Amino acid sequence: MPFPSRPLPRRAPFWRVLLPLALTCATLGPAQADPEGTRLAQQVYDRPDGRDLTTRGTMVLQERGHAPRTREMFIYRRDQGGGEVSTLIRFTAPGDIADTGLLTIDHRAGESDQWVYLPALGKPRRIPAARQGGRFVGSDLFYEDLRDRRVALDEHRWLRQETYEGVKTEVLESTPVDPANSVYGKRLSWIHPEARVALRIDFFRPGQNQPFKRFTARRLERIQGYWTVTDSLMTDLGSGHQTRMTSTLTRYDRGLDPVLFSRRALEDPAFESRFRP
Amino acid sequence: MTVARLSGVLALTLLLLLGAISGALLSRIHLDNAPEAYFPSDAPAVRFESRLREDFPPDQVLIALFEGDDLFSDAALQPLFGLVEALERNPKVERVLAVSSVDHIGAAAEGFVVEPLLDDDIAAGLDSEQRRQRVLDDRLAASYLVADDGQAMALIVRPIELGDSLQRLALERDTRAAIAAAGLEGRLTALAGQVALDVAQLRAMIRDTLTFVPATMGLGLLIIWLLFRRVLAVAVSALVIAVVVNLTVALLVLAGKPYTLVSAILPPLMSALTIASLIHWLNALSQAAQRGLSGPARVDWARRRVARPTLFTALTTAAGLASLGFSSIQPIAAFGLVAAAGMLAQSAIVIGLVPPIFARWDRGSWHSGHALRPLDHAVAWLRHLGMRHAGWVLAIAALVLALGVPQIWRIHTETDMLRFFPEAHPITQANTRIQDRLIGTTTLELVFHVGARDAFKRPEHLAVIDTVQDWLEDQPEVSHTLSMVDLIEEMHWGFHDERADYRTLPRDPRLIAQYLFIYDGTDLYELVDREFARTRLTLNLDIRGARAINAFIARTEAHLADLDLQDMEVRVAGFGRLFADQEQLLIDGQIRGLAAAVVLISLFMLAMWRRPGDAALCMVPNLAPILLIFIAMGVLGIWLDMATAMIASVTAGIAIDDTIHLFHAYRRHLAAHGSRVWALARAYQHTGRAVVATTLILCGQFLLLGTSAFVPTREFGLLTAVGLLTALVFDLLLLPALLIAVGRLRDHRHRVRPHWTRH
Repeated sequence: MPFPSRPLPRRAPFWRVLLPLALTCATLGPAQADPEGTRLAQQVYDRPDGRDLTTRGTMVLQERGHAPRTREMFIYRRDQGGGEVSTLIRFTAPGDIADTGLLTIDHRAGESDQWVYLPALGKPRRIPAARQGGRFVGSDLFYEDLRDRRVALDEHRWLRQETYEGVKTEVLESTPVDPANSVYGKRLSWIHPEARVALRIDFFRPGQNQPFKRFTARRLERIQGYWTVTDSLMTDLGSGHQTRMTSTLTRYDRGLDPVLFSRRALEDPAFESRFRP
Repeated sequence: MTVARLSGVLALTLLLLLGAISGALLSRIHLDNAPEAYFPSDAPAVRFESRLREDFPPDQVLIALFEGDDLFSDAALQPLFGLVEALERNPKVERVLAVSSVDHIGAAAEGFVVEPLLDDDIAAGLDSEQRRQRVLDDRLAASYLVADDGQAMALIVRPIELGDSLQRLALERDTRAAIAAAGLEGRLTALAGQVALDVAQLRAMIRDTLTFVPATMGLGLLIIWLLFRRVLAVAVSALVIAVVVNLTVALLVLAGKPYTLVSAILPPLMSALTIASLIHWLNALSQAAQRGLSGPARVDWARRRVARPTLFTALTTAAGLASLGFSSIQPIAAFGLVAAAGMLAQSAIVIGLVPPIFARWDRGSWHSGHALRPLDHAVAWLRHLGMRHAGWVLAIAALVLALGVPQIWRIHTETDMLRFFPEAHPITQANTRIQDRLIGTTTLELVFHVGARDAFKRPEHLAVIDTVQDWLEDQPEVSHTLSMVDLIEEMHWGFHDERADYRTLPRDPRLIAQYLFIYDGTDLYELVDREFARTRLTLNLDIRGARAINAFIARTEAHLADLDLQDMEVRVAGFGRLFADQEQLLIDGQIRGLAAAVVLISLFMLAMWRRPGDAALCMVPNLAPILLIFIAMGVLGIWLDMATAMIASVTAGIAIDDTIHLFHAYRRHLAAHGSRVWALARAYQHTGRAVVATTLILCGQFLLLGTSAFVPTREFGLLTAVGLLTALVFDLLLLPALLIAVGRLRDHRHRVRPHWTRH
């Protein structure tokens, strides 16, 4: 059982999964109707997660009856302060997509800018960041899952305490205030009470009562004092298709240069590679 | 024939019990006329289709067409967007394809975009004309979602896998309700597609069942009253008909088979056949009463007269019906086997349960049968003609058949589900409208397969698909095609600022892999599996009938055979393929079924008469009507389809009954008196009347079916009536002629045989 079940020290640092951290945040937001739910959501959103993060990891797509499809990548993330967060993802394998990159700048007002770099094309192109329901590189992650979702965008309701994988979690329901700004109709999150990390999230389509997708954290580790999900699984409950995200190396607070989060770094894998740990 | 006699009360109780049990089973009836119900589950094409649907969405959809000259105004678009969202929330819906939900791939400032073609946000920044232009400029959507003039727009509802026709009906109702709630009813001009067609057929078969069961039963009971004027006869007949019909349909339930448009013919058919059996019984009872017999003696006399022929006619009819069990088309096979079982149950009831009821409650005298007297003259005239001019009758019959036989080759084996409805029917109009304004509703798929991962990221494979697609688009039957090549070309174009020269398939395999890697829409994975080892090219065709679809498939396969497909396997699949495959199944089933019917009935004849010559002789007047039915179909241009495929076997099974009754009577009189002419006259005098009456009643009932607005029911009714009438004429005219001619031949042989061979 990878999750700590004993009480964690107060103000324990939080994890940043590769991308799933953002995903965890995305499920939470302030509630108006339920103060307890709102407080819990705010705690998750506000948890410490370092000034920057570098991860080397894999994304494994798994489909019943087929061999897994593995992608390797580096992820750089930097909190620019004031609610602005930049992320650069560089894929390194397999060969036909090696050096493909994705740069995302999440602005404090909530909007995002996004560029993609295709090495076969040789130049970066802007892609609209507003597309929440699009699948991220054919995985089970939607673009919406990759972004920090501000607390105020959802109404939160604390539902119950529930033991999940041996941990007594807080179950939180988050419903978009404006249905138009989320591809999901509702999310249920099982929050680790001390780490303030979602160990499981069920995603619901609008108007439906059964989840169609499930995130589960498979390993939670404390790295450099920050709680980090280093192994997670996103499952499409309809097709059974799964995306497993694992981190083989995680470094926080390396003092990443802001230039790494520029179009120059995006279209120059050699330049970016200098920042690899 | 000796049958253990039950008490009248016990027989009635058993009958009521049977009715109650079978009636209770009817509540479990499974109404399913979905196309899948027709195909044998072990057919290779069906198995392939089933595997295909594990990776790709179904191609049976519901298409709503909205028309107007302001479709891109807020007044029309806002309700449409709301409608799409409402339908997507419906748990029966897998996806809704509309301008707001399909991917649009294009260029954006400094970049590239995959976004909805026209949703709320995009529409907000455009005026009506710009919206219209944006949609019409989209290469992928324009051809199937919006008409060229922008005045017709489709919304395609793709259901999850629905279990039966009732679920399809529910989906159609939900869609209509959602359209009404969105305020778009006034703009809705068509609701079509396979789902709507299935629902229309479901409604038609329910309506026919509710109309023709009471109608055929009412007509039969009226005739029984007119013929016999006995309340008991009418009451018992009504009860027996109800029990037999319920029991037969209950057998379908017990067999786990769905109630389809084919099985919808069961209730009126069983009702008609039961009345025919009852008339023979009542006729015998009437004759017994006129002989002064009463009570059990009357019943015993009647039973001795009809039990054996009733049993054999049931066996032969059952054999004819059961021969349909050789059909590979599931509902036809189920119809035949269940109807055959129902027929046997019916004979058991008529022979075993009905007599005790009459023995217990039948008191008083019977109507003298004057109502049947006019028939005697016709019967006598035909018999007389056949006997006096046997040679001429046989020669003319042979000539008519010989001249007609070439017409059989003009029969078209064809099934067109839309042709099952009149031209004015809303479903026909709706399909035609959508075909005229947008695309054909017949779908077909070319499935390309390579046994290696990522094969369809290779430009050489994609180039072949592109070539095939180009060829297909040049075919007159094809109104729309879509493949993953389209999406890649659109991405290439979008990534290059929508320059026309980039709307092509890139040749760099890395670029293709990278386009596919970052593609974040939903449409791609409806065209290629995630292994990129299997992809489909979808087609919409402007043709509907199985024959035309088969011709198109054959031409496509021939073209594919001429291409260098490298290591790719290509198969034609989809609803159109399965539907077209029915053509061969129908022909095979028809040939096997008819052959089985003839063999089985011949064997029963042999078992009954115990003389091969007599068995063969009895088959002649019954094979001739089958030939005449096929000749009529050829002359009148009636297709051999799902409904008409059953007629020959059903007619053969029923028509032989008259021959059995007549020949049985003839042999009895011949054995008693030795004179062929006298035996024929007596047999036709006594039995001919009942034979004519039952055939006319059956024909009346089948002609009632001929008034159905549902073409399969109508053609089944009319052609079966033609077949039965022809068989009657042949029984009354040709059979005496044959008996006389064969008798003369035998006499002649007897006379010319050398004396040393005589016994």
